[in-house]
Amino acid sequence: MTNLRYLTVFPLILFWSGSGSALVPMADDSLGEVTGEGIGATFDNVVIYSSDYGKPGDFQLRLKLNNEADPDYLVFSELRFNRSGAEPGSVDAGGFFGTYDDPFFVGDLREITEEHLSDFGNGNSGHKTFTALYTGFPAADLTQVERDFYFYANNKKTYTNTFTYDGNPFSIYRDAPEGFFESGNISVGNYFTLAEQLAEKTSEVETRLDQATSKFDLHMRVDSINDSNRNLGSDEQFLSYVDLKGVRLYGTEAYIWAHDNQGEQAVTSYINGEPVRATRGLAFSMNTGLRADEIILNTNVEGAAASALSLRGVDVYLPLGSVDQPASISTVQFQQETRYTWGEGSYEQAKTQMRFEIAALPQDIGQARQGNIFIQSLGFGDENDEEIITGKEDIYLRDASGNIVSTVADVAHRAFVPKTVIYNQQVEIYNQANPDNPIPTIPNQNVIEIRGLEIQRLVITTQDL
Amino acid sequence: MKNIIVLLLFLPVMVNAELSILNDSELSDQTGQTGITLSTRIEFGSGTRISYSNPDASYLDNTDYWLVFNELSGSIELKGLKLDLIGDFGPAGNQGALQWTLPEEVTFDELKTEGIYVGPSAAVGSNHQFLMGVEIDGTLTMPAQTKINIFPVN
Repeated sequence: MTNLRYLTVFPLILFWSGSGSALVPMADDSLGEVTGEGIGATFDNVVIYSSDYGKPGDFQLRLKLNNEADPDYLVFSELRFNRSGAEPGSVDAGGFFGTYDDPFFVGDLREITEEHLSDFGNGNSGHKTFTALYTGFPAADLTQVERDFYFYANNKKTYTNTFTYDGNPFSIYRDAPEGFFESGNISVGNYFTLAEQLAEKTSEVETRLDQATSKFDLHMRVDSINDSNRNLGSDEQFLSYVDLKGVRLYGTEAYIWAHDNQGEQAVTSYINGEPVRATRGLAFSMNTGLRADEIILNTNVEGAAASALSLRGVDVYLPLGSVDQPASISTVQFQQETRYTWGEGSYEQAKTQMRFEIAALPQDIGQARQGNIFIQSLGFGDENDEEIITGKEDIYLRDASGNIVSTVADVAHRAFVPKTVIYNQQVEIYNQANPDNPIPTIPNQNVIEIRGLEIQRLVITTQDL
Repeated sequence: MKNIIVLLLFLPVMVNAELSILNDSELSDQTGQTGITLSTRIEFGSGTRISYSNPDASYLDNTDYWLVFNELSGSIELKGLKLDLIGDFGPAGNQGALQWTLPEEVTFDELKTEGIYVGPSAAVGSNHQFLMGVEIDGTLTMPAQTKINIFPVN
């Protein structure tokens, strides 16, 4: 149950954004009064700080995970939020969020129309339309840019980056020209030209984001209190520090509306016979785009580098529902299988549970909205730890023509850090030492790419464990 | 929709807020702008709860079920929340806005809900399922005079 209760946090947050009262469909005359106006808000000098866990006046958000005499707790503390790189809690650590021309936007009523063609019976069909309450974060109009050079350069490159073995083409470093990381001058074709083009595209997004919001740092501490450590000190209850460095949102927006089937002919699912295109009541959809320079989890209470897991260069873009797939939160009677007797047809008495649902994708839509996750590199603990270092190789630094201008001997390579990242670190060092003759960086690869995330239908129902 | 109870609407009658007297030094900080400064403490009275239902959602089970934030208690205290009407907002410095300057401290004193439940009625009974409780305690500081500007968007 514990994990499921964690899962309920997210929909509960969503619930709060839509709570207050249910929405009702607007009549035609009311719809005619929709003006497209809303309320904008900007936030300046944003700094939030709380003292260390256990110190006088510290701030704690405690989630009680069961209803027993000695409950288990998950405790969040040390909440600190400030402009990236600034001293947490200082008066000059403030960042801004939103501008007059690109504010946090709330209260606009917008008309949204399904792409799905509804069958209203008697030969009538059409697209259902709803009036939705719109909320948009600064830079809500931005979408995710391509962060994989291999995909960007596909069908554009004029250089080879494959070799043939046993009649099959292979590439060790699929982005870079063949032989780029080996000794000897090579032909790089339009490699650096394409790299510059992609860099310009991503730079345009960053520039636009710079105008809309600061980068922020977020820090918090997480503790877990349960029977195994209830009477022990706080160090034994410590779970992890969570740090987000250089984080900001883009393309983040939400719609809330009153969904009903408007007379569409009922279609039931072969799964439990539930309605596929049912009335959902209070419905919502949202996009979330998040960029972060680094996300760090550290499981050592003293913050030892050896205990840190870091994700660097994170870009997450996740659609959650749409007008054709409304998301909703409800409570249902749910009869779950008796634990440890799965498959034996033994069910417990039905209990009331909470359900978060994204409706099934209508067949005529074909494809749900897609999201992508890019993570450029991973760091495990102390980067100088010998167990992290996978080997040492020379790095051959090249100018824009592909000629070697310098060789750096025995550069440490690390697990889950792409060769391109190692190369660019050496380029940065070289350029600092040679500011009058800088050499170009190369496009970074990603160690994790999850492309085309698509939800056909999602149902999360809480259960008892 | 008609079955939905939003107890937030009744929140004003369930909470207490008190005005405090300014001392000399605080009084000397007042500038006579077109705004107000608020120091307030909001306490939740015994028996306060928030219940939510989505009865229009269509499921095989026709019973209306509720999400209940049960037994809210504790308090929130804000010191020095300022509210001004300004006329020099926007790129040209000629737009009006409602400007909130957030307090330097927000203190939560055992603000909590005994439990968040789901069940077949707005009040928690024996058939309700416990999901989790939430407790907030301690002080958040905002030392940089954080400002929120609110304005109409065309």
